[in-house]
Amino acid sequence: MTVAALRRRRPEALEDLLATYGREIQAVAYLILRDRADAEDVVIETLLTAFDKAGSIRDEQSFRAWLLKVATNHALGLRRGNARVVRLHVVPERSGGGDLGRTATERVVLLDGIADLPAQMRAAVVLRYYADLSVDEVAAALGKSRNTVKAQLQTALDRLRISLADPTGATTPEARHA
Amino acid sequence: MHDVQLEDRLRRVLREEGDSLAFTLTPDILEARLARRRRQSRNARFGLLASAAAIAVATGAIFAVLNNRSNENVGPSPSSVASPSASGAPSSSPEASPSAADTPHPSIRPSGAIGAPNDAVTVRFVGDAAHPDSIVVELTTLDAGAFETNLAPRVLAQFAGSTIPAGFELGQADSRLVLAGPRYGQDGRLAIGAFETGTTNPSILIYDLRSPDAAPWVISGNVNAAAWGPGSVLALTTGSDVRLFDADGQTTASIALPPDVRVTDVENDPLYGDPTWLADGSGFLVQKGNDFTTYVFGTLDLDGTFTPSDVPAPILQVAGVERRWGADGSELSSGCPTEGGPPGCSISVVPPAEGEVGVNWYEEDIHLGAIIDSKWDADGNGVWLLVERSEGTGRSFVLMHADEPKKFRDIAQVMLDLPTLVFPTIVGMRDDPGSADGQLVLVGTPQLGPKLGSILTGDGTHGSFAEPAVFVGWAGTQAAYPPR
Repeated sequence: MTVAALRRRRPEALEDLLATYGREIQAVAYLILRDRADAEDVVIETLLTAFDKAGSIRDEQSFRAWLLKVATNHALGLRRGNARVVRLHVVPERSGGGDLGRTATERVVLLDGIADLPAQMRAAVVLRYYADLSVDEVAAALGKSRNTVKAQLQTALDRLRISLADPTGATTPEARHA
Repeated sequence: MHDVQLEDRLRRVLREEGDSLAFTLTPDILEARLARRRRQSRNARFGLLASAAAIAVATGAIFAVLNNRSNENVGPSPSSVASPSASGAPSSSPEASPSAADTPHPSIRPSGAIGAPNDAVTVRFVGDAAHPDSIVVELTTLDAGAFETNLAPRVLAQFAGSTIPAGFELGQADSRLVLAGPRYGQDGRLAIGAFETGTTNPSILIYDLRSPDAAPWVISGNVNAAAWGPGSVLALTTGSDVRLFDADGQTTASIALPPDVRVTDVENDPLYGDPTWLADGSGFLVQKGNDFTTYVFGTLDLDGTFTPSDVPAPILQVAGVERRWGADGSELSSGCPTEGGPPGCSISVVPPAEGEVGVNWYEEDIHLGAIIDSKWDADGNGVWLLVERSEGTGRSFVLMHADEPKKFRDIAQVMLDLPTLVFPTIVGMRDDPGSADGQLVLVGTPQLGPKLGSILTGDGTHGSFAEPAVFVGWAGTQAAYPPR
């Protein structure tokens, strides 16, 4: 229904787009950029791109993948433009141990590990494991070959595995001294 | 920790993090940004007008370059592999690709087209769409005088389903295709989007209509979109370059994209849109910019040279549904009102000159009909408009035409039996002054796969296909701009 409304440039199409895809695009962009304001910007630009390109959207079933591809490109473009921004690592809270504590630490370590990945690799991880796109869809979104994406994902998993095995290595000096 | 366990944890953590974000965007914010973006876009385009004289010079240079490098060798495609599939199994061996030494740059060849230029080429898939029993390619002569009694396609070629290589299946209308649909090349070949079975790996099968018993060629690789160019050359876009596959010589060449340059289509979709060849086959319509919101248009010649061009010189513009700009560089713009504005959507013509406002050509009216689609006519001076003017139970669509603002006149009206949310679009257009039938407009339903519904002509006659078919192209090239 969204695509049909888009084709006709109905006013409600933007609202539908926002309601249907806004949250997911925001999350994908945020996980790539780690900046909420930039993520909101990506949502807006992505949905307006869809609105502008309505005439060329031919395939309703792949519309979501197309939107995520546009969003990822916007996000990676923003990141290039903001290359001077320094990202602060999340500081894991000291806990008294136990499952809850381990889970919280693991979460922080994983998020930090993801944030430390090269941008394209991080985008591949987010699209694959957050958005649940297939490897082929991720490849299409990033303009890479299937094998390249598979290699990127495997490298990412290997790096994250190392981070989990040695959580202190994944945190900043400030965090270690916290 | 095994990969599967790690992947599960990764999914959980990403979802917790991503889904916990507050979401505060509203439609009002979107609409405000839309208005701002359109102003910015116009400013970016107008900034290039001063280079109009340089564009004319560059056009001449493109021709000169094209003529001087017919024997130039270009390196082979590194990953898109074209392979004959006579054995039924696609080859992916690199040796199927030609070496650099025997890879001449594709050049314009004499057309091997079948049929008269204004004949419509259509395809029907008999049986299961993914694994059809046969692929029937047909030619329909569009004789407006005989439409009511004779709209009978004749079979050009028929390929058995068994010619589809093992391990491949044809793309479905609702699946991602490399091609928006099957495409007929002017050299008598048909390109059909396909997948490797069980995957979404895009591929293209190329059938030669003059050799219906021959197995198709298969192009596999990281390809986003494709479009036939002059002669037997198929252009394939990837994220980083344009590959040219010459089906005649089975050679490939690669054009590296300059930084921040993307091949785009007439709808300005640089991601999935089929590449738009310039009318003379000398290159492609492209955009340049470091993101998808601030960019300039231009042309990319076959040497990989980018030339900014707010409006490509007229001779470079394809005439037909691929036309993006009008004859004077204006753009068609459609819009719908925001809250508090006039009630109907409208079609405007936006002049290229800075500061000039768009001229409203059509405003929706309950009696005139709701806007469905609009295109420049072939010479870029008038506009075709498709509106829905349904009354009662049937869905009625009217093709209108105007050469000046608010002077649309009804050309032809058809009833189409379509689901509620499916809308027809203009899928093909001819405007051939050498033809007694003159203007031909094909209306189809891309949402259902580009099924061809009706043919409407400038003199008001129309016809429909008895069996739904997919329009894949015209038998001959459209006369170069301007056609008259």
